Amino acid sequence: MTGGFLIVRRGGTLWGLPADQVSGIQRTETVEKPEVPAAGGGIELRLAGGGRLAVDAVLTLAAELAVRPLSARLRPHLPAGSAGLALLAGEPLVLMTLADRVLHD
Amino acid sequence: MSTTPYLLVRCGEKVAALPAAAVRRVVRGTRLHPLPGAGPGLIGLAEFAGEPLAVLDLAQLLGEERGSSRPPVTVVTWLGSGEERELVGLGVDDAIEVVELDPSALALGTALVGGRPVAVVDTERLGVEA
Amino acid sequence: MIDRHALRSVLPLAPVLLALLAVVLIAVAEAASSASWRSTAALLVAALVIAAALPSIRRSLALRTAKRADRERLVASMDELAAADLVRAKAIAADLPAALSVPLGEALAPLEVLAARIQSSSVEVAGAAGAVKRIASELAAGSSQQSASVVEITAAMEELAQTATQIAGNAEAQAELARLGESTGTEGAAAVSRAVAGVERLRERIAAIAKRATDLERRAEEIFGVLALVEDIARETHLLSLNAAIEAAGESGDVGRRFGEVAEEVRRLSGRSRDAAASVRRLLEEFSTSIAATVEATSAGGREAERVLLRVTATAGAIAGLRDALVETAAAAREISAGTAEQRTASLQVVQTLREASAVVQQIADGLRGFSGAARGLEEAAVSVQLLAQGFRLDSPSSLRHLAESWAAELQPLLASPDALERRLESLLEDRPDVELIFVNDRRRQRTAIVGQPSLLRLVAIPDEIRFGHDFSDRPWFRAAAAERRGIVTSAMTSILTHEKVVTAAAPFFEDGELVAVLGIDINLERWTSG
Repeated sequence: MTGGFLIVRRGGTLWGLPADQVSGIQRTETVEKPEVPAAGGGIELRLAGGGRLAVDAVLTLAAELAVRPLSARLRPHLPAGSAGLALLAGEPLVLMTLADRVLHD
Repeated sequence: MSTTPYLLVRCGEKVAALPAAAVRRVVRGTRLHPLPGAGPGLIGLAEFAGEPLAVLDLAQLLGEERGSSRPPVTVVTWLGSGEERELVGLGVDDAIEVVELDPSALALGTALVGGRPVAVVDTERLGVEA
Repeated sequence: MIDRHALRSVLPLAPVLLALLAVVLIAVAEAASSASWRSTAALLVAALVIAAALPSIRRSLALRTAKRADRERLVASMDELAAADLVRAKAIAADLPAALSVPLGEALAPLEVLAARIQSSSVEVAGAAGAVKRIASELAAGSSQQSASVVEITAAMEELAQTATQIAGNAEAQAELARLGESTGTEGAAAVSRAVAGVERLRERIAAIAKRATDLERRAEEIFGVLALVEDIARETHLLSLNAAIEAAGESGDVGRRFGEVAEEVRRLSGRSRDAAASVRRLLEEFSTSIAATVEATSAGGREAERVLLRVTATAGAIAGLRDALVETAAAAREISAGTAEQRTASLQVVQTLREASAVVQQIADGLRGFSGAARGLEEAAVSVQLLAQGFRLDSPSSLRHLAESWAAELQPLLASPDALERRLESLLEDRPDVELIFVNDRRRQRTAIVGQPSLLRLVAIPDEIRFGHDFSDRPWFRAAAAERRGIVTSAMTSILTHEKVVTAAAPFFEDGELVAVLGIDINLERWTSG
């Protein structure tokens, strides 16, 4: 995928990923770690760097997002890989930029 | 000598004072979206005045022990100063009242209100100290 | 531009309604003089409008550059608000330029609707509490009657047991037996019929109690519902006052200081209403506990009564059998003796069961005595709430201040003609069965026109000296109307006509700016609430 942002729901919140960092989307048959909430959705994204990201739902592809970059104050509080905050249809979301790693919760 | 207004809030057992000039609004019952994988200081994300708002746990930021329940009141506050100031939500257990404090309170970091010590918060520096 | 976001976030309909209701609850926790509850209501109205309208007024006002006349008009409107007179506040605000009148109007409109709803719903709450009190006393009265019937039945059955014993003891003497048996059979049968009838009545009474107790539970639920709302209000009001104080902190000079003071006052009020709600909640919880206990006891009582009825019916059958056996010969004497022994056992069992039923009924009576007290307290609290709500003057049928002021306006031209005045008072009285007395004390002309409900005046006449030259200036309704120079409602007093609780709505008359007369309307609280 190129251009825009893929909006997904993960553990109750919206996340945005630059579309060109996502190489594929597939359903997973088995849920390996049921105690981890984000892995319960049964959908897995394959990332450009080779990693995987489990999500609960894929919502939309947004052409643009008005992103507010994370300040030095907020950065340590947000998960690794967070780049900024945005709002989509009144709901807050976190923008992720991902390196080539599998994300654990 | 003129005094400055401060908003008193309760986080757990502690009472803190936030400069009223830095407080945008006190809200209760905002929809908070939790973020798995976030640090213990972040309660979640919310929406305020058409912008995303990160809500941090004030007790945590002040180095306090907290109960497991989520703070019900959010004080939407300007943190930082000048160009780099940003609106952040501070989660507290209760917002009490607005009081007038001596200007020296900020420098001291503490003040006596009704005989009780309160922690005076410097919103310009909160969250960026090492 | 109106800051719709601020208005929407500061004035969501439900919390403001509740915020106003919180004010009225404050009187539950504090002894209210007629001045303090009105200023409490007024303060909250003023603070809420200010908190709601402040952001937009600040933007559109540029107070320093506004025309002097407009500033004065704005202040006058705020003064009327401070007196909780939403009717006059609106009227004055309407003449302001749009930049000022529109935000004020938008803030006032929902407040008016909400205050009207509070006035009418406080009447409903008082009505519910009144019903609760009435039901509680009926129940208490009913249960003491019941205890009496149980005693009666027990006596009848004991008498029966005794005669059965007598028969069993005299089984040898046939003739004597026959004679005794005849009369015993008749008396025994009569005793049993009384017992059966008595137990039936007992059962019905217990069922009636159970139903009433369930009604009460429902009423208490309603009041709990209102209470939960009130507690929400206290929280919302508090929040509102904090945000107003924060806004005010950003405002320099006099305006900021005054707004800040009002916000602080509101915060204190919300704290008091939170405390008031907590004590009402405690009261209601006690109340609910005793209702639950009563419901439980009445079910137990009902079951006991059933058992007794079954036994008594069996005994009636045994006695009928005994009568039949009496026509037999001496050989039958043995059968009789056996039969009466059984019957004796049966009636002893009945007596025992009745004793148990009596104990249950006693429990009910004790429980009821407890919550009669709580129900009285609840009604008094609800009436205080109702009167507090009357602090607002609204163009609404539930506003007694508005009633007094609009009648005064209508009667003013008639002050000079006593006959016409009296006739008009009579026709006003006809439309309001809840009004006991209407009077106009005209100090300038040294006379008082006074009319009362004809049904009430049949028993008590109005002495003539009242009408001429009598000085009413020391009466609370007169003093309050004269001091406030507007419509007022007094706190509850006892009526000399009916000995029931009344309030007086009063309004002053002015000629050339001078107070010349006062109109008084005595309203019977019970009839006003249930009407």
